[in-house]
Amino acid sequence: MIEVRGLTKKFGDHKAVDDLSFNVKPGVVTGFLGPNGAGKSTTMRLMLDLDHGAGTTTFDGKKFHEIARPMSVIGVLLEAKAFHPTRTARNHLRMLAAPTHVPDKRVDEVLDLVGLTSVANKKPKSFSLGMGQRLGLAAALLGDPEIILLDEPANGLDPQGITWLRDLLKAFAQQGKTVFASSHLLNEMALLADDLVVIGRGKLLADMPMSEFVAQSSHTSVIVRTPHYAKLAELLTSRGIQVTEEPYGRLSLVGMEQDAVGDLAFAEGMVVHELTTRTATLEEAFLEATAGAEEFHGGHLGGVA
Amino acid sequence: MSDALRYEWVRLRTLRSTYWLTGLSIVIAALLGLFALTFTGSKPFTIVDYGDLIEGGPGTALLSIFMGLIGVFSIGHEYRYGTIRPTLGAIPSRTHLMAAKVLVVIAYSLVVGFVCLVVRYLVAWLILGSKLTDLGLFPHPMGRVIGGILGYVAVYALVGFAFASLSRSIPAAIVTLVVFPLVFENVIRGLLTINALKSIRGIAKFLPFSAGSQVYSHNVLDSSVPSGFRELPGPWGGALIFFVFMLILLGAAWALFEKRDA
Repeated sequence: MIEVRGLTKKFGDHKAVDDLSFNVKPGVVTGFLGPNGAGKSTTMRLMLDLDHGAGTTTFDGKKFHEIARPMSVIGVLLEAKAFHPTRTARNHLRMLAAPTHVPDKRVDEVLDLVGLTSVANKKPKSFSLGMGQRLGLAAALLGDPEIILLDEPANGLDPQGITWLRDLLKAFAQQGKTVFASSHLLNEMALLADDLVVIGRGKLLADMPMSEFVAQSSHTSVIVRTPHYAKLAELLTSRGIQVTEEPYGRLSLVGMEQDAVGDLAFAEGMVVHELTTRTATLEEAFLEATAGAEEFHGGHLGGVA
Repeated sequence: MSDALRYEWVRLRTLRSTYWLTGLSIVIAALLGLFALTFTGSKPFTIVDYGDLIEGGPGTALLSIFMGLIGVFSIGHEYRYGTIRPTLGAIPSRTHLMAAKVLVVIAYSLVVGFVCLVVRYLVAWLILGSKLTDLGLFPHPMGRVIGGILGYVAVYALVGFAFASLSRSIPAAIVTLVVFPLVFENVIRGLLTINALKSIRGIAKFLPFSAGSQVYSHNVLDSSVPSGFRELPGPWGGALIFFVFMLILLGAAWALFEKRDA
């Protein structure tokens, strides 16, 4: 369990992280989302006492610097390719393992786990981003931790690598461990995360199960097809439900659940031919939740002749 | 603390540059020992010659720079390659990490310095035999010269470490480490040779690197040396100036390391 309370970080007048509080539960994968520059990486550094700021973070009740050998409690991956280019992959891990007294046998185990055994004694200067990411993951797993904290772990991984990572993190959570991972790959996060923490401009926008986050989006709607669509639309609008007419006699409505719509139609003696819920994608829900909270905006391409 | 020392020791041993710098230091020590060849035959071999041989001409300056680089890399690589965060992820106490780095830099530069002195002595002994041993190991002032070389090299390595820690940049630290003693101090001394600056000439005594090098000096400067270059403290005063200079830099580096975001 990770408990974050009142994390704040100022750079001059700019608040990069603004009074963030949330919990990360064990047994599930928690995704950490936010637009570029929202403060995800800064938040992670604050959690680990790498950056100095206000607020507290505890890992299973202890602050990071109070844990004598943190690697055996918390595994961390912050940047891909954080290694010396001529120190071999195996030696890089042996070095990080030394203060925690992790034996060389475990170093070889994690190298095998991330699929780098064949390049264990190679200099990592020629490693691709994906291989660098795997080496970083190996370092995070070295101490067999109860909690892992990963910043953009899927960056640079190929589709096979992403699938492998997803399985690994899910298996990790299923063992009752705590997984907190940031990503800007929303489709990937949709498949991976159970819970979400969403921030924008350093502020908390959402902290809830993914299903709830998606359900509360205005892009989640109930579709109903009925010959009495005009009458039904009028009835729903009068009850404050947002109704949009769609082709083929369909209505799309936000603000009422599927069962309630069916009950209402039945009570009013209307025939219903189709009744279904269209769930928003994580991307739709995310874009809606973070609208106006982006730090960087792109322009649109104008009329190209 | 021992956890941080274990880390630092593995870090140093798994770095290629450690072997290069150590190897070069020892090879140069051996080559400079060959100067003993100029004293073969019936030529007398004095304590001053013994001092020249042990100091090794540019040998101590080169050894200092190599060990200075060990100091620079100790923390410079952490920032250059972004390993500082994983490192602090394994060793959360910045005080322990900094102390371990300082201790390992001191210990390693002292050991390499000692090995280099032994190598110089052995090469000279193979060439000169009893001519060398007849002087004894520590004829006055050789005890101070030998101890001074070791101390100077260790302090120099720490100055390199402090420069790298302050600047968090390997190139900036190396340039400062080489330019400060070899260019900056000599330019100041050259300026102070100008007669108009005669009244403040004494400040040259406080130029830290040349002051520090007095601790292993065994020569008396003659009057042909320009006046700005003759303004030097005694060996112990010089050692103190250099040591305080290092303490100020290291103190600032340590305080900033604790305070800055990693």
